[in-house]
Amino acid sequence: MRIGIVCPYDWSVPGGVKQHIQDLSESLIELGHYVNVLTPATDEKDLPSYATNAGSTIALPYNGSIARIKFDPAAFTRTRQWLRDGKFDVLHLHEPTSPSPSIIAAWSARGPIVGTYHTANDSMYAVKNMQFLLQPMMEKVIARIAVSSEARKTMIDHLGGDAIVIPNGVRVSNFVNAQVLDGFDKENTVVFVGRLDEPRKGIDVLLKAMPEVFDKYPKLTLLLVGPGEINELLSQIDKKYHQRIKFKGFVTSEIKASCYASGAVYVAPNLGGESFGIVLLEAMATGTPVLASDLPAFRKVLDEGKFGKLFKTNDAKDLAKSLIELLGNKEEQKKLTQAGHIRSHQFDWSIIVRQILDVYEAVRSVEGRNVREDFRGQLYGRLTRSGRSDRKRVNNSTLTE
Amino acid sequence: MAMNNILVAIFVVFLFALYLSNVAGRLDRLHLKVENARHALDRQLALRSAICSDLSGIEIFDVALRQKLSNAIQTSIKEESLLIHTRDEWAIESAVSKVLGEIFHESFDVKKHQEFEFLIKEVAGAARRVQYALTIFNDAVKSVHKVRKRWLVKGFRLYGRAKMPHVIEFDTAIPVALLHY
Repeated sequence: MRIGIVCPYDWSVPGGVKQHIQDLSESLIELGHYVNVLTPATDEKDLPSYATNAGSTIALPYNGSIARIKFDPAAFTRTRQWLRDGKFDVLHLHEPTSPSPSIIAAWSARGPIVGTYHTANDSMYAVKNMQFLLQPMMEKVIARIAVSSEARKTMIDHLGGDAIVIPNGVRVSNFVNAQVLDGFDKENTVVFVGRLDEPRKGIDVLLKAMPEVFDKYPKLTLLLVGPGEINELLSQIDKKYHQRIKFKGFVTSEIKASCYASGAVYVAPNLGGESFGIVLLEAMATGTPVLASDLPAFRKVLDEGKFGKLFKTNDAKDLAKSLIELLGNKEEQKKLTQAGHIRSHQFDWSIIVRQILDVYEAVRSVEGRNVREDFRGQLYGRLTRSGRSDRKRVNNSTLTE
Repeated sequence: MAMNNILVAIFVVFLFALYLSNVAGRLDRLHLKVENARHALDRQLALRSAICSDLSGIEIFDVALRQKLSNAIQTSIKEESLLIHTRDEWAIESAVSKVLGEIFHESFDVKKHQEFEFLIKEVAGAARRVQYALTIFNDAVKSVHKVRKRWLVKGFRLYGRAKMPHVIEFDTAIPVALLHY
């Protein structure tokens, strides 16, 4: 199958959506499909061989973080060129309502189109206000996928309709053999991975809880991994603990895997805005037990605590109590390691990709034709023969009988 | 002056007509999408029945369950071939889903049946595609409802003679044992 995927955010900047698209594309290519990703990129060198550059980006605040996105006239020409060159059987747009190549592709193409919604957030005002403009374009998207039931609920609240839920995947093979980082004692390390400068990742709660845990386990170190300013954070915690907090800024995905593996426990104190707990699955794939806040998304990934421990969201006391308990209980750690292996394999991309291919299949049986340029609403489409013929009403029923 | 006013009025009426024609065109495309999605759903259901009838011939399952499955499939195949596109007997398809759920219950271990792994994967895929096709259909129906609710659309009867489509509901739950296959 020839599959065109559109990534709304800058490829040069790491992020959940980009990682999702990268894993999806690589899994599809492994199965022998042709994939091309249209994505904005500030640096062409970052692009893999299966990606096409849609131009550089501008930074805009979106969904509580900074999204680097793209929306300019030249992008329209490029997107149409990409559609013509690709001759895709299926077009897969990610976050189709964000001002990005995704929305431009939704505007420029017709045929079997799939859209994936990643956001679970109630404050997408822009989308709600722009609805009358977006609606006709979104109606061209035949199947809509949400990465979690929260994302599905958000989508239905804002746009109506219905969506298929297919969870995020994890490339287990990238994590399962991760080695412990040099200079770290796995038994006595607690790991946090996530942006340090983003309050919703919950680093403040963790720092509030740590003094009690440090006092209980004198050999314990805390490893913080993620981009952000460490000094500001350290001012929140007593000076005597500073020695025991290790910091790694932005790391590559291989080192990130080793960071997960270096902990006796991985802590995810997130406060909200998570639509799916991909970080939890990554940690579980390396064999590290997980302690996470009881957000709906996390509760689902951990199956109400069967595959990892939960504590009350934004409750430093409860976090400290649970962490102390878990660090002291080697039996439970071992049990959670095993459970984590099982769980992460259930979400391995080799399985998730099959579900996505089933959606492609279902969409192709709704729209019998390939992805093509949409000339409706363009002067060219109203005047030329090729544009006019494309406007004819084609009913699929001839295929059934 | 009067001439100018008339010209402006004509222009406004023209713009309004253009808008109405646009909405009507959009609604027509939506109805077409619903129709196509309905055909696709029928196709996926027929495919599922075909794959399940292979399954009912395998000896690893309980005889009673196999009988139940082949009965359910036979009824559904009859429906599918006779009344394509007009039937409302969704309970029949629910029955197939339920029997599949009984066969692949929680404690069914797919790994113990390596020799049939391929077929079991096919069943999982077919069950998923039915679920997806139904979601796609209902999604399309709901977007038609949304547009047809508008007073402008009602007032000018922009939907023409197209029938109001209805949401379809039946059990499409994926069997527990097949969730991760």
